[in-house]
Amino acid sequence: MVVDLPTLLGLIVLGVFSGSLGALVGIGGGVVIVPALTILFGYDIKTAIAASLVAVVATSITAGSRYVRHGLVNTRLALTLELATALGGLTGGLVGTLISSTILSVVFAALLIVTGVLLLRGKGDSGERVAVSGKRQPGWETGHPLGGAFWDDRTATMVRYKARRLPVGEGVSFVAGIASGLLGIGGGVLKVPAMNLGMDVPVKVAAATSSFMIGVTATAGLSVYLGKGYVHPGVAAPLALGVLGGALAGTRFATSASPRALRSILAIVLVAVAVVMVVRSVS
Amino acid sequence: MREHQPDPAHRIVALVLQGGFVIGGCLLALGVVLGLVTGDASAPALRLGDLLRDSAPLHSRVEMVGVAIFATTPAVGVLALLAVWLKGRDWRAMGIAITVLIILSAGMILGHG
Repeated sequence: MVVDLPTLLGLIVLGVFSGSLGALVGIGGGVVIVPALTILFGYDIKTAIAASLVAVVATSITAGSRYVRHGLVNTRLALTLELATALGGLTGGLVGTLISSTILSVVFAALLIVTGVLLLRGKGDSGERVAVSGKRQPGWETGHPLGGAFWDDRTATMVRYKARRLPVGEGVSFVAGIASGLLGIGGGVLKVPAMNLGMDVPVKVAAATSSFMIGVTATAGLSVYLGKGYVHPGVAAPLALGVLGGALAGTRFATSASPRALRSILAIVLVAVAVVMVVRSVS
Repeated sequence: MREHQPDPAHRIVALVLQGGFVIGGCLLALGVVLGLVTGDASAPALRLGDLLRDSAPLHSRVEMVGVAIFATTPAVGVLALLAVWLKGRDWRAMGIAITVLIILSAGMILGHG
């Protein structure tokens, strides 16, 4: 395989786009990268998925490092949900041959569209504003019950929240894990709405926590691709470099963006992903 | 409201993630620059074991080290959380983190099999 200069630049641009989008709304970007690499660049699916997993991890560690430092990530919530995601991923990997991926894709796409509509129609973001101060403070988290507080740059206030209905989050994370194992996606597109709509977690915390989680999920898949020799470093490197730049830009915007804007962007991404999934499964 | 100090778990995990992204990113950039400078546009698929193989292009091997650092960073982040929670005697969180690591390891072993 040869990566000439125009291809190299194209990979960097794709990385910047997916990295900024992923960091902004808490998804890995695999749903954008895999179709782009196979359709636009002509790579085979295994090369595309391997490069995409590197990009997902790059998005996660870039956005995650910034979000964790600001106290936007709830690490206990992340790992509690990751438990269900990992179990779902394992289940999806084991039963993958028993379920038609076409049917699953269509059902999944319908679920994404419904979620997108719910996000657009939803009421204001959750969380209780507890103080006004001109000085940024680090966020914190509580273990039991799962909750915490974060500094909202947009309103210069501390916002306290408590995660409710944990079984809803666990259930959706399990489904996201199965979808990840069957369809090769990160599952952030399901986890962010589940945390925000289902568990009353503010959308900024949901996106930041999802950003941290997708790296952990993708690591397992990436290690398999590394072991089997599907990773083309010459393809993954420029893509990941673009992702690093894009994710840094995305995190800068996310901390000061309005929750409504983030929810609208996420809703549009969900519907776009649904369309891509249906087209891919039909074709 | 009183001012809060950064959560130790947040501080350490942020450091781990930032370290991974800086070191891994620098190696990826170095690999890309090496490829451009030497005019070698080849991009073969590599396994981790190929890092010591002289026949693989140098720029690809440098990029592969960067990819490997990226791949291990999230898991190191979870291990760092585990250490912080162990110190804070948060047994429930520790149990969850250990279970996650066991499930991920099982997935990797099944995947390699």
